[in-house]
Amino acid sequence: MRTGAALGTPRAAPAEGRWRSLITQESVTTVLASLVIAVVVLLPLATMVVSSFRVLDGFGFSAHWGMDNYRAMVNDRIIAKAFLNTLIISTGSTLLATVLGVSLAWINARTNCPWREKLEPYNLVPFFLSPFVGAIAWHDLASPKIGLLNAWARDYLGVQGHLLNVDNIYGIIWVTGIFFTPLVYLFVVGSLRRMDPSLEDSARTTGAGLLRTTLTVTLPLVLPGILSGAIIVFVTSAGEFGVPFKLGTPYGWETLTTQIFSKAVGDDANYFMGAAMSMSLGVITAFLVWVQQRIIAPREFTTVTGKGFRPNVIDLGKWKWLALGYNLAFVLFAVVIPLLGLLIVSLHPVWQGRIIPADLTLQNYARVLFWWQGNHIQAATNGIGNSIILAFAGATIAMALAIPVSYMIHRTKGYGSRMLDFLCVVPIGFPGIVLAMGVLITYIKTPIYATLWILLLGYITRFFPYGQRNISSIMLAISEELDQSSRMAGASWFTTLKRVTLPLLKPGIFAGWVLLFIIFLRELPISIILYSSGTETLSVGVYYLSNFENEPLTAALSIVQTVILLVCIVVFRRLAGREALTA
Amino acid sequence: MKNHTVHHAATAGAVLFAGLFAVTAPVHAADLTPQEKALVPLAMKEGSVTIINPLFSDETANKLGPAFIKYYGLGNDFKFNNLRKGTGQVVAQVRQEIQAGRFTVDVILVSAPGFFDEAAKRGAFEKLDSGHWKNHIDLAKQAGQYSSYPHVVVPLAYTFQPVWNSSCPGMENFKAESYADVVQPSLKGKTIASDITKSFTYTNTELSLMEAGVDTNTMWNKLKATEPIVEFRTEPKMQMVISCQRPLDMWNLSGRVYQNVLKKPELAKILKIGSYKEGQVMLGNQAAVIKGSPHPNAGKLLLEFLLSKTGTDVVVVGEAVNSFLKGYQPPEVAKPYLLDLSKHKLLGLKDWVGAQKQFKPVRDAWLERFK
Repeated sequence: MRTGAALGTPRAAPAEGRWRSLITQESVTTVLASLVIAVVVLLPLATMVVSSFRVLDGFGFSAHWGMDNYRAMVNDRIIAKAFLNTLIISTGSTLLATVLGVSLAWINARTNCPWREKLEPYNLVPFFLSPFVGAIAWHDLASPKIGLLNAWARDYLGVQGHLLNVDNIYGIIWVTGIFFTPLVYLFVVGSLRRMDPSLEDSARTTGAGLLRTTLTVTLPLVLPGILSGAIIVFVTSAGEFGVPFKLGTPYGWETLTTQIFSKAVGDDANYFMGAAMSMSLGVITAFLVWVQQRIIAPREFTTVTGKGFRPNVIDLGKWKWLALGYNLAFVLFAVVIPLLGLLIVSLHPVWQGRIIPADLTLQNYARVLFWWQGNHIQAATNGIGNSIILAFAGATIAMALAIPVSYMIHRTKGYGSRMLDFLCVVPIGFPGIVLAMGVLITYIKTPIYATLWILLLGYITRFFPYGQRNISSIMLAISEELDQSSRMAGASWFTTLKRVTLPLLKPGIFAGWVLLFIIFLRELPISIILYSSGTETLSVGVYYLSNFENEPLTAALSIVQTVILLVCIVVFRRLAGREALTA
Repeated sequence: MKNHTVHHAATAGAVLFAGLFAVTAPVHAADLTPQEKALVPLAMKEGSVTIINPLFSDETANKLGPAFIKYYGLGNDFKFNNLRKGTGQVVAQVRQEIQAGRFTVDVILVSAPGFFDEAAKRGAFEKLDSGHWKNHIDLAKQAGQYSSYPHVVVPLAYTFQPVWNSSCPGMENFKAESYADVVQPSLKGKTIASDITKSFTYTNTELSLMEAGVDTNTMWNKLKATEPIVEFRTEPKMQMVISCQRPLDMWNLSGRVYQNVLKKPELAKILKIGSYKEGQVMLGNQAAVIKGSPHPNAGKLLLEFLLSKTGTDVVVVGEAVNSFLKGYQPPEVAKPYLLDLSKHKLLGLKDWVGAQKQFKPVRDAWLERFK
């Protein structure tokens, strides 16, 4: 490693040494990592664009070029309805998640609500759990005829018919909304905590009350954070597959993701049609993410000043108990009650819509856990092992790539770094099921097809940006002077990276790794497209049991998945501290 | 078999299953056909086999694999893999592997005559030399089933029957003997519409009924009036029946009843299985070994096992499906769940392959009503 080259003094290098000066540890590592990302992201998307213009024949063996897929899509009444449903669900979920997320963040960050510090991690739990499992749980609780809550309402309140019904578009909005509430919460709570209190003080001194100050000063100041969170929830809801698959499709409510799944791997199994539909959904969601990243996000945190201050904690008086009740109700409905419902169902051999004490058994847990038993469910036992392998390997590889990529984005200048930054945003805009289609079509003829590697590739392609953003946020806060000092003292790029940069990035790397580990443990839309015999994942196992076995077995594996995720969260908190969860 | 109650067959079923497994001892070489004898060492060398199908439950697969391995003495290291997906997904995966030239499965078993015919024409299947197929071909032909030997055989068949839960409100005196019975206005809120757009077998069932003169347009209109839930897989539909969410499913499998009775024997008293006087559509499940698959000889041997009496017993007891094996007597435990083919009008299609061309209009019409 030549210090001169690293310090950017090419004039001193002789002409014949110029090429050699370009080939440094730094350039080779960053360029290679960037190329990997470019190929991994662009190849599936390009393949999907091309595939969307391939038209399959009646028997599905031959194809020709044409616009028929797009024409069929436009003329298909079901797809049009699915598109409309997707918009309604995304809008409804976004509104629900925003109202819940902002109010909970405000209670937690700016009021004297009792136990608010203790409750914060519980507010975030739904983010780490599987929405598909949430849908299964709510179906078991509030399905009109077999829901536990409805059964109790009939038995104890004398209700005729049913009290609740989640097997419709409102149920999808409800479950998606509560599960994505933490996303808005996370976007808003930081801004609220860092807000300069003098802005609110000014309003209060002019006679504005608590409500008016909150509505006219506090909320507008955190509006960019709210909008960012809302857009991410909108996009994530549009790409959500598990919830509408469980609560919508059987009851006549199709969405774009359920239609993509149906068209791509249903009876007609037309991947090219699936690609055309995926492109349409992908373009919409990618545009919204672009708006969030380029227009809204740069406006965030403009209320944070350089002055040292402590944010105001508003005294709610007696209302603080109402705030506490509101927060507890969220935790109860989002986490506790659904899990209890799942647990009850999982203890029955078959679910008949009511608790039958004489039937209670742990047999379902034995079948999904004990792989050595003759009557085990292979998709479940395989799924547990595979998911842990994929989560560990995927998070590690993704974070290893994220370090040089973030370095290139933030420590180098020019078109390459801007392009790479853009590439790291692209996958966020494409729902998992869409990217999985691209990955499948691209790699089906390669040896990685039907192996864990293709799932790993799909996971990293889709979620790599999450880890990269974690590192970026810390890298932006570290002055380049630290690196330069090390290099001037004669350390190579690798030595500087190892001794200076990486120790400083450690919290971001760890937080990103754990985030990816947890996301990979509960991932469904990519896995459902890419799995094969022996490569089932936990969520595929749940899907499999839901389709091919019965409700109690599905509930049992759902509980197992949830316990694994909760244990990961607890371990993560122990290792990284409370703040890391909201970092 | 009309409206029969399936009495406590569950315990007996489990015992018989265990018994079947026990008697699936390695056969003396003299009992094997010459074709099987030739395939055994080749299969042992390959060491593994994977079958993709929409039917075999984990319970059945957990019995079928060991029984297959034991029957031919393939050794403890031999691996049997059962990959269960929906009918469409099964066809989709195999078709995509054929197109890509990348193979992960050896044997495909699914009711999809159009697909098998087209794939066979393209040379996608291994040529079989079966020692057992000759015992199936006559009955399969009599039942109007599609096969295309030496590439495609049909080891088993099932038929969709009405299944209901007599313990649910309003279902105490219900009986299903004709299609008119299962679409009565009094069944409002109690029915399930099987999603024909996602299934070859549902679509072929409707086409067969149409060919037999059943007015499916009127039938669907009446079913629509009962406000059914639309569902595809037989297992979730069975759950809806058991839990009274939807106590009647006009097209389910008697094998699903049996499998749930095994989980909870008391269900035998309340779950009822009917049949249709208009005729029962037999849906043969075709099977073939995929050319280029990683274990073609093990695949061929597995097909031989499925066509043999021992293999048929395992599958019939596990899934309560019908076999076309000449002179076959199903084990007693499975009998309550199997149609007596001699006592029912059986329907098929004159042209199973050509029927696929009618899929789109039939499904579009169905979609118009139900979605």
